[in-house]
Amino acid sequence: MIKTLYIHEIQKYLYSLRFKVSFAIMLLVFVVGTISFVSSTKDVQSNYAKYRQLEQETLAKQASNISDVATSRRNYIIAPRNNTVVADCKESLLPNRISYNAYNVHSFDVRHDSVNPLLTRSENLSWGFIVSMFLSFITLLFAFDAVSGEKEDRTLALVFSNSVSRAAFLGSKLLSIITVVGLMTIIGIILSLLIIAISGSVVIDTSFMLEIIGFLAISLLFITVFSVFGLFSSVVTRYSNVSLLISLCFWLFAAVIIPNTSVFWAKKLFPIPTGRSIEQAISQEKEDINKNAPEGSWASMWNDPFYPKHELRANNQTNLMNAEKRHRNAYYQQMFRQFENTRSFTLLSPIAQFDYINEAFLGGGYLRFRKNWSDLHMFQEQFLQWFKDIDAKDDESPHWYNPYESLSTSRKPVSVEQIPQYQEQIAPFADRFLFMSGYLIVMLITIAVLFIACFYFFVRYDMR
Amino acid sequence: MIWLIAKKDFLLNLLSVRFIIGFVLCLVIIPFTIIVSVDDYLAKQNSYEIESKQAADELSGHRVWSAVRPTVVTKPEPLSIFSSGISANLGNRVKIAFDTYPLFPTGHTVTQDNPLLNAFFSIDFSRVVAILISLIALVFAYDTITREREDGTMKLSLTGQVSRISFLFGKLLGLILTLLPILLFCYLLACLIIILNPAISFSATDWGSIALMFLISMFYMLIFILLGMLISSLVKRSSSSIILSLLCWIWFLFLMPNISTYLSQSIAKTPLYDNVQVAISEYEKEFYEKDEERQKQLNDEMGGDVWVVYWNANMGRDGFLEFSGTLKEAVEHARQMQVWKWPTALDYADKKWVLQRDYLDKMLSQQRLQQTIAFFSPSEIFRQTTEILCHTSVDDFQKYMESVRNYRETVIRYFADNKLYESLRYFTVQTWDQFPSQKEFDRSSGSIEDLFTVLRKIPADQYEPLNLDNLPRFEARQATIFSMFADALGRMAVMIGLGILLLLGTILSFMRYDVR
Repeated sequence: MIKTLYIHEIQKYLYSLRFKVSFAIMLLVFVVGTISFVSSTKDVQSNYAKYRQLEQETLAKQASNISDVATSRRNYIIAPRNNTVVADCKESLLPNRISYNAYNVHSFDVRHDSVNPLLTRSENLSWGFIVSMFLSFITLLFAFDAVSGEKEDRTLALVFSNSVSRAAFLGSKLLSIITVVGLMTIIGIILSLLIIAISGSVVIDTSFMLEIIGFLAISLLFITVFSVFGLFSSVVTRYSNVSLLISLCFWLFAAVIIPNTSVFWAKKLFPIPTGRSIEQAISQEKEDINKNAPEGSWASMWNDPFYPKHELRANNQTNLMNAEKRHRNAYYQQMFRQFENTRSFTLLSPIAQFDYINEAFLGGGYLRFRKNWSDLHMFQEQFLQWFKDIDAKDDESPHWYNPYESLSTSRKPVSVEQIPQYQEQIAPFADRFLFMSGYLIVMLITIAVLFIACFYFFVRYDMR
Repeated sequence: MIWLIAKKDFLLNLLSVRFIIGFVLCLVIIPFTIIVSVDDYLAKQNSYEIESKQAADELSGHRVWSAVRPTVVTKPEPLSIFSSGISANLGNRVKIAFDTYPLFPTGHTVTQDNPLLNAFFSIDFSRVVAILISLIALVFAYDTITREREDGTMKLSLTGQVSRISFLFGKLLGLILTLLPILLFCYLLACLIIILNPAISFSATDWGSIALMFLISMFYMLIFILLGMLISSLVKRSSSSIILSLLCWIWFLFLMPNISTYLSQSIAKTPLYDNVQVAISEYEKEFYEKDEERQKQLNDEMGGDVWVVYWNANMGRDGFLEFSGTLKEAVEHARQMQVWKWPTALDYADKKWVLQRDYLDKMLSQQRLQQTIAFFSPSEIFRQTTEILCHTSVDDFQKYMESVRNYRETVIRYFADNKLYESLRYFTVQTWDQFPSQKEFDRSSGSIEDLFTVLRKIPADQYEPLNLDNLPRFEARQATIFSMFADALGRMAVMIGLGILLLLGTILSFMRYDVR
């Protein structure tokens, strides 16, 4: 029986006006999004390649003095990701530049030009965006009158005069909505993939295909959340226009209100000290260090590396760096915690759940940043060790390590090829699954709770 | 007759579930949004107060002219509570420098304390109004015609003396009567929160802006009512009408803004600023090379053995140099260097500005393109108009930065007119007579105490700071209500035009409507 109902439902949806119009809009958005992506991705990549090249040129100039290589600040800019078309994970808005040298990973920031500040903020038309904003809405439009609409058309009582169980009825409704919207998603993605394949802007390899399949599975789960809610709103009311209003309110809260008020909640619920107070604390401590430093800690003589006061200077500079590092790292930890807590808070919205699952699965966004941040710390230690090893072999160096200046360490040239370079390690799938499991559980619980509620009300639904 | 229909519809709507839900939605969301924005504004205001005090303190403490580089701190715009525009993307501080033009402000943004929070978006009153009012308007208007047909009441009405036109206008008026209180309620609620907060003060012009915003919101509401009615007159069934209306809604409100931005980014491309920065630093390097060359040259001109050593010196960015305790020859060397450096640095600033300007132009053309594409959505036109009225649009920002750049010119002119850059006070607090010449120095015995005496080293902090009373100060230009109105007029006209088109469309299609 459930099969008959299911096929009937699917046919009904496929011939409906809402399907035709939303299908057309969805195709349009997919095409526009993909074409824009294809046209900008080449540019983004060439910009990045140019940046890398200029960076190498700077490094080649520094290579005439190995201490300069070790002390001068370098920026690591997070590279454009191959699977941005699936979801961009707001990488252009999250911290995307990390500054480091051999002695320390100094800071991170958001490059001010990664998004044109003159534009109103908006999300890229990635697949993730289309699914999270448009298809969630479509799903609700499909589901809101599934039960109350039939009741108004007086077909509901008719259905149940046959030997149809309520569970089978509800199940077929749910499955048919997921099937239809899922079908739309798949067609949109295939179209998008075709455009990408023709343009050749992204290499379509096994891992990319795996990511697409994973994305599809996540999307289906996400669509399930909204279809269950749509059905729920449909069974709690007698009129379809009321259930529509309930669905719309739900969507507004999930898509607009909760995600867009996060900064406010972050500041109210999870406050951290102001940046200004941290800067003050740092400069206070630095002042103290300088005040208590032995006489001559700032003396220098460029021509003589062995000038005895260079040792004092190196010590002082190291103390300064360590003080700053301690304060900053503690502050960064607070930032991470504030951000993570706020994210957990926004998990109230299924759209946020979907975004975070995608992010974890694609290895992008915040998790990618955190991975780079900790990997760079490891790299920095190796980099310093490399420098110390070379320095140890140089008799013309007094080996007084100064994190900011090349006064009292080896000044020998080094070949560019020898200099260690940081390479981003993309998180393996196992790690990604681990990252996403928490979010996934939340989404599954959401579905379960909604479905139970939906079933509970449907069993008590007045068919007349 | 029109009035009768309107009254009936108004009373019917008033008791409907959708009215209550719409009202409650506004009641919950509007105050919350305003509170969030007020919180944001107060943080900005607080930061402004601290920073402008810091800037003033910093400036007044300087003893030499080479250190005098005022910082312009932007006063937060109170109207940004209603429409934040691009103000949230930009900082609030511009340091005036002679060797570079200011391009973008730095400093406080909403997410200054934690850049990670940048990943979360925020929302303001105008956006919420745009979303809610359009949604409510559509939810009320979608079945104006179809429902009457489905219920069979339309046949009944039109068999009497009611003409189709008066039926249509009666319906329209009824909807306006229903929705206007909701809109008014939104504004009153927002204004009430503003008035009750003692930390916020709105000027008369600001209230004028809000009144204009209300007017625009009414046009905006009307557009969506008419859109709903048009759709309702084009289809036979209410269920089709609501679906089409809502698809229009999500297209205009959520898809179009993203499409316009994403499309404009892929059509009008901007370079990576880090790459522009490399070209800029090439110029900077060139400048330093020339500087070194000039120093050597000057040394030769001055006899070849000038002892350029300062007993106590500080150096910094943009030509900052403060010293005491040196020889007359070194002072003259520094002065001569400055005479060369001053025009050269300005020259290089111009060269760098060409690169920066080009970058900025690309950003701007991208933004213009985005605005043009966004014209396909009434909600985007509404947003652009409210930004203009709240002084948070890109044009306002451009004008502001232009005035900051002009201020830089004014300061430069002040330095040039008073010949500050070639005076001794540009880099030292000591007077010419207080420096010994090389000969005097050579006559001294060479012991440390003697050196002190000869160089007459006096701790710099014993000197009075500079008197900066005559230094030009930055004054932001205040927009008048008329200029704002003129700026917004074009977009308002587009909205009115759109409204008229929709009205004509509705009349036309309703005239042919099959009432059976």
